[in-house]
Amino acid sequence: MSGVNGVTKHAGSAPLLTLRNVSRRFVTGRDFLGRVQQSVCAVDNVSIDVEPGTTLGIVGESGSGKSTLGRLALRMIESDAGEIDFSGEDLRRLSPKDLRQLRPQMTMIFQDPYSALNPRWTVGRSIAEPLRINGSSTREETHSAVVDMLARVGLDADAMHRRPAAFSGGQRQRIVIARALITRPRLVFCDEPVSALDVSTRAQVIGLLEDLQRDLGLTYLFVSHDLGIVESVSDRIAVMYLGSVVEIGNAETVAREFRHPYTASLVSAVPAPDPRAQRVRRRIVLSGDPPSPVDPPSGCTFHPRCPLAEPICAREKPPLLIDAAGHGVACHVTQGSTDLIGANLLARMTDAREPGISTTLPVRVPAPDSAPASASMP
Amino acid sequence: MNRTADVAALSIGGLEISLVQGGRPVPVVTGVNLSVNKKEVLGLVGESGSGKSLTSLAATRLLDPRVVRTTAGSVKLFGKELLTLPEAEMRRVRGKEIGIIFQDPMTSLDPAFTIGYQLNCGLRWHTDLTRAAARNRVLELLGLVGIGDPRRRVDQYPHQLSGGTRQRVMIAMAIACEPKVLIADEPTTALDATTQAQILELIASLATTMEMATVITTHDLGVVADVCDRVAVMYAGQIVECATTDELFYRPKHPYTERLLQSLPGVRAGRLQGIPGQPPRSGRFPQGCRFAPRCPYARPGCSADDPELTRVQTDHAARCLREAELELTGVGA
Repeated sequence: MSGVNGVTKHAGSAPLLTLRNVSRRFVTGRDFLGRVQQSVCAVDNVSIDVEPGTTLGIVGESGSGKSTLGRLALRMIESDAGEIDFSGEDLRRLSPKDLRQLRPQMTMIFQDPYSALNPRWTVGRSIAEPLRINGSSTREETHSAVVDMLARVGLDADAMHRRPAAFSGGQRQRIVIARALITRPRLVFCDEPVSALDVSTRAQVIGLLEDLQRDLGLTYLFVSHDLGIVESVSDRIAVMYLGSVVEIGNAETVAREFRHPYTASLVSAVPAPDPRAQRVRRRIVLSGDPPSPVDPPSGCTFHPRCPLAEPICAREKPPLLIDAAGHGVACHVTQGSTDLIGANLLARMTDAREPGISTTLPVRVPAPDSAPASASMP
Repeated sequence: MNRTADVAALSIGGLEISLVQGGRPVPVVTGVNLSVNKKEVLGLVGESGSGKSLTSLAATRLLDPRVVRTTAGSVKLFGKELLTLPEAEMRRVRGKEIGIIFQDPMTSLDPAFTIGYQLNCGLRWHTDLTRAAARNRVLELLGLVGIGDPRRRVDQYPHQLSGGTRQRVMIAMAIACEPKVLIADEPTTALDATTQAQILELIASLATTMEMATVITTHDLGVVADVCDRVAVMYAGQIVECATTDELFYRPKHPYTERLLQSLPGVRAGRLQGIPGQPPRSGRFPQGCRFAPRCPYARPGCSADDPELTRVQTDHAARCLREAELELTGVGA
């Protein structure tokens, strides 16, 4: 067994987790003979690397496949195609027995701390459960590990004798984090860990996750629909739309020098807590809902909602081209251009926006003028 | 505060809401004063348990009297007292004069009926539209809230719609009878970031075009920055600060508001700042200033005296003993 307590960081920059061309399709409809009639490509040909000790943020709307990608990466569900490499082991080929031995190194933090804990179990029992399943610790070891973990997540030791009902949402999420880290994992998949929490608690929990990452050398796969949060925690960000990664790069780059129109619309959707900046800023309110993944649009799946779409976008799916700095974009329009970056791209998109349904209503705060120069981001 | 109209569209005065389950009533919301004028959007901001939803539900008398009850105060709609209105008359107010949008569109729509039927119900109950006229109005409403292809959508069931579209249906229901007051209880909490922007813009533009007085409750200050004219911040069952949106964001006068702003991503560089500790449980409020145990500026005196909500400027009130001496940081400082 290769180090259950493996907090050791890999020397050099060998990725801890590598996904190559991973795909997963879910069957959503069968005919009366059980033949597949309808399926959804939840994750379509995705390749990502995660360096040890870093955070990869995955951002996208509901239905974009971001949670599925995380589950595939931990082999909590099986992938249809591709390679998944976790610290040198080919995860897809591991026998169930070997996989079980590797499990303590890959854990998960769930979105809803109210349903993630068994209400009848004491907190101590919930936190100790992974160690019990693992079967490698004595009672005393388990007890001291739980006490230690509770202290690390900022809860009193006597919390272990109480039940989840005695705790608030933020405290429960701390318990869920303690349970995820009790086996001293190397990779933690955080699936919208703060979406269910209040704003002030959210910041606390994110701070805690950052402290624990530093102290324990953790690697995070951080999934959220909120680009603001993802930007504040991630080293790198992958933006997903309908199962594909449309943009990937360093957090700063993706959030400020984004080159994909979908990323631009996500950026402009983040509510800026600054009334004046918000008034001069022009939002790209995407018209319509995300298309159904059952019947995705041809070519670039974003083209029906994209204000910059050209004829080629409906025909060919753009490849994800990654430059030397590790910034990848899958877009026909912006790949060929040098100036469609960040604020410029946003300005171009608001100018090109067709008067769709969502804009026929009078806009409450009209932009002062329509010169592209005024549309800079705050 | 009623400069634009003589009588506020909705005014809440001295509202106290108590938990009545078992024994003595425990006050969970105390001394709430609010007023909203025509065409004005008020943001009611607070964490879970702060009493913001109770306040907005009390205004429509939708609280379950077996559990929570309004124990004092008044709620007036254009000067008409609602709290003492007979239930039969209140039913004529709800949906007709006050429209309500609930938090979770997944559970607020009946899965067994088409959205057209559900929209139709309220319309025909409150108005004397004929069947055909009501159906046309439903189609018109669906278009008004930005649902594409209303003719097809009207006969669909809630499960066939996305979360954002369901919330649009909820909005269509709320505005069906052209209410004068719109109450939106966390309208975007259950939605994605991109959809959230669409829905907020929709509510704000409807408030303007239909000349409604609107109350939006939320736990996220970032959400209200561009849609609200005024913001009231609630903590532990009290309003701790109330000001115009710009005042509140740039010159907060209550430490809780300051900390809440600092908790938002993008307000300050580097680490997000949370607020240490937990809000008090409903009804078990600490002595003196209720925020004092978590307040970085608290002095011993803060836990002794109960601060009043005092006006510090026209259109700006704060509930803090040290308000005059503190230099608090706003956004963009």
